[in-house]
Parts: sequence; structure tokens; C-alpha cells
Amino acid sequence: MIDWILFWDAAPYLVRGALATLYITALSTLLSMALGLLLAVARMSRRPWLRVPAIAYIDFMRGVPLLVLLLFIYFALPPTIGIDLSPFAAGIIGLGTCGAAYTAEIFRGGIMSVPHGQIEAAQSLGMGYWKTMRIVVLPQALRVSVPALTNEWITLLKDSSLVSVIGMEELVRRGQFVISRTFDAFTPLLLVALIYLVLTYGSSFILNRLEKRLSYD
Amino acid sequence: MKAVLGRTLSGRTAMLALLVCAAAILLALGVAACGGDEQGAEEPQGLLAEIQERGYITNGVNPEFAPFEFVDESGDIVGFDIDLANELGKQLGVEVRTQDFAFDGLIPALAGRKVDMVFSALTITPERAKSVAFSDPYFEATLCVVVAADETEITGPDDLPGKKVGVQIGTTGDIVATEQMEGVEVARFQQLAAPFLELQKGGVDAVIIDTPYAELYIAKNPGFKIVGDKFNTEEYGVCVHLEDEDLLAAINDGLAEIKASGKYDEILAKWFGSE
Repeated sequence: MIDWILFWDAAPYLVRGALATLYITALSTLLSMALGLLLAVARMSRRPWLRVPAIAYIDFMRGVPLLVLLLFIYFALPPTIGIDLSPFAAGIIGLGTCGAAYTAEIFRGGIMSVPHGQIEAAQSLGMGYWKTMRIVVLPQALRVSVPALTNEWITLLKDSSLVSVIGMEELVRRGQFVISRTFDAFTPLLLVALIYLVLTYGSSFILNRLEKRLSYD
Repeated sequence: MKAVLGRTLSGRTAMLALLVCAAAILLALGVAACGGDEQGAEEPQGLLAEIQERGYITNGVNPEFAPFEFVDESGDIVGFDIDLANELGKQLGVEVRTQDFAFDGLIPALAGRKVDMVFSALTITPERAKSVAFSDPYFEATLCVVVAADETEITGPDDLPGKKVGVQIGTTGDIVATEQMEGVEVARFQQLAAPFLELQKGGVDAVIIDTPYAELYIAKNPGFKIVGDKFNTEEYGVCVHLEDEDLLAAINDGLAEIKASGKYDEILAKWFGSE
């Protein structure tokens, strides 16, 4: 069933596609973390003009399928606002803005997990909101969020396969090219799946080590 | 174990660092996006003049359709259409830049002006002609019915009513099966190879697909056969945006020149052997 000649022949081509996958995932994660942190703070703000748009954004991004979002950003948006986006740009924006909604909720959970007594203690020492956040809340919140955030990385790693639909040349798209060239579907797909396993297991391993370093022990 | 976040990286610094990264990414994307925005700026000039000014034409293809357009071992997009498009570029005096799309994304890409033309084995149909402008035909193709090698019931397109047929979304196979055949259950797939995989596992009884591709597929996967006559003779054309009449005229002139000069036969022989 497996064409071993094709397997080893196509492997370097597909592995280089995996590098594109890692690159897309890394940039999207960065964007979603930054945006997510801002959203989380806005979401928890007492000011409605911050809180309401944040909630609306999070609900929207979690409600629309990522595939639909990517197709929309790549095909429907450019004619409307007049900017042409490459598959790469559309992919990062789609993955990043969607991931930000999930990351925001992760951060919010982390922030809420810090015992309120600490915030009261900080305030009684005369610390302002931002000082409290900076010194007391966020360091603990971020540490607690790490397991969920590593999960988000793995999710984005797999979700990045969707950008193949808008023509981004990453691992899955390269797999499709090999299928079209060789008329063999089994071997290329097997190879793609294996490479994804290596990426996700590898990520899990590295990120688990990071988690241990950041734990309270 | 020292907690890195607690000791060395305060919450605010982390946030600042993340914000700077995000800003940098968005800025880079903005620059990349603006770099792509070179089309449709001055309408009165006409796309052809604009193309010749910038020195290249963008061609949208779906490189999953050997031997017309596909990706070879070294990762380059090659094929019959690609060679023809490059000849066309020589006629127009510009470089041809090929971009990859999913098949059902080709016409949206053209309509959204992501590419200047689509030279990707698209059959000329009245419905498509409502959304895009077609050039003169450059290839004549047929559809055929593919079944498993041990199939006995289906001997041709007329035996399909009452059966389940696999097609690729948006292809003429899809249109024929949906609109012209009575009582056929149509299963649509995004990838060209997918209907064949479905046939292999018995999910559909037959596949309707362009003949050149079917013949190549069967050569590599002997478990299938073509049954009945080839039908639905159709012609492929190059697509441009409905507004770009000047480009269309230039493409037609170019195609005529390529046929007259013998280059067409040369490229045909290269990809289809001796016909």
C-alpha cells in the first residue's frame, strides 16, 4: 500500500512544507497572545466601552468557523476594503485574530484565578491598578495559564492546515500537490500525518518541559 | 525551580514585549499587503497597459490537474497550460507569475482581481461566461465515466441514472451530473483526486471527470476503467475579468499567433505525446 520510493522521495519536500507550517503557527501564536492579552484586560474592564466590544469580538470569533473566516479574509475582504492580501497575510490574520479570542479567555481564567485577597492587599499597600496587575496579578496569571496556552499552540499548529484552502503552500497543500502529481493518495497523506505527529509530539514534549520549569515546585 | 515569569519578566514587560511583537507582525503584514496592491489603481489606463508597464502578468491556476497544470518533483508548477501561458507572456512581452488556488477559488480570485487571468483548463460554459470573459478556445476535451475495473452494471453515461456519482465541485463534470442527468445522486469533492478515492472505497458508483486526467490516473491506478463513449465535448478557454476587453483581445491575438507559428503543436506533443 505504501509506495516507499515515493515516501522517501517526497519526504524532504513535505518536511520543508512543515517549516512553513511552523512559521505560520509561530506568527499566529504571537499575534493571538498579544491581541488575546489586550482583549482579556478589556473584557474584564469596568468600562462598558471596553468590555462590550471585547465580548462581542470573542463571541464572534468563537462562533464563526475558522475556515469561513479565512475564506472571507482572503476572498471577500480585499475587494471591499481595497487591500490585496497574500495567502500568507490572510492566513496569519485569520489564525491570529481567531486564536486571540481563545487566548483571551485563557488569560481571563488565569487572572481570575489569582485570589482576590492579594489584590485587596496590594491596594491597601497603596498600589494602583496597573502596578497591581504588573507585580501581583499578571505574573501569577500567566504562570497558571501556561498549560492552556501550550494547548493553544498545538491547536494552532493543526488549524494552520486550513490555510491550504486559500492557497498557502504549507504541509497539507504540498501533500495535495504530491497526490496530484503521482495519483497516489495514500503515501503522501500518510507522510503528512506522520509529520504532523512529529510536530505535535515534539511541541508537547518541549512545552511540558517549559511548564515544569514554571511550576511552583 | 525558579519561576521565570515571576522573577525576571514582570507582567507589564511581558505585555509590552508581546505588543511590540504583534505590532511588528501587523506592520510587516501591512507592508506585504500593500506590496500586493498594484492592481485596479488607475482604471482608465486599462489592465493590458498596466500589465505591460509593470512587466508581469499574474496567472491563477489550480495545479492539481495533470498534465495541464501540476506541481513537479522540484516543487515548480508545470504543465500544458503553463507552457502555453509562458508563450502568451512572450507574445505580450511580459513575465508570467503563477499563483496557486483551490479550483473553486479561481473565478472568485479573478473577480476579486487577485490575478489578471486564469489559464487553468477551464471549460467555456454560458454560466461561467456570466462571471468571467473567455478567450477563444485553446483545447478540446471530453468528459468520461470512470468505474471500478470489476463494474458490470454501468457501461456508459446512460446507465448513471439511479447511481451515485462523484465529481469535483464546480467542474463541468459536476454541472453535467447535476443539471443534465436525471435521477443521479451527486457527491461533490473539493480535491480532484477525492472522487477517485471515494470510488475506490465504494462510496460512489462512478466518477465523471475530464478524459485526459482519467487516462493518466488509471495508468497509475489500474483498479479502474473508463466505460462508454467520451461525451460532452467541451473547450477550454483563458479567463479574464469581464471588464478587461483590451487584455482579452491581446490574449486572443497571442493564442492565434501561438497556433499559427507551430508552437502550439510543439507544446501539445510535449505533454500529450503523439496524438
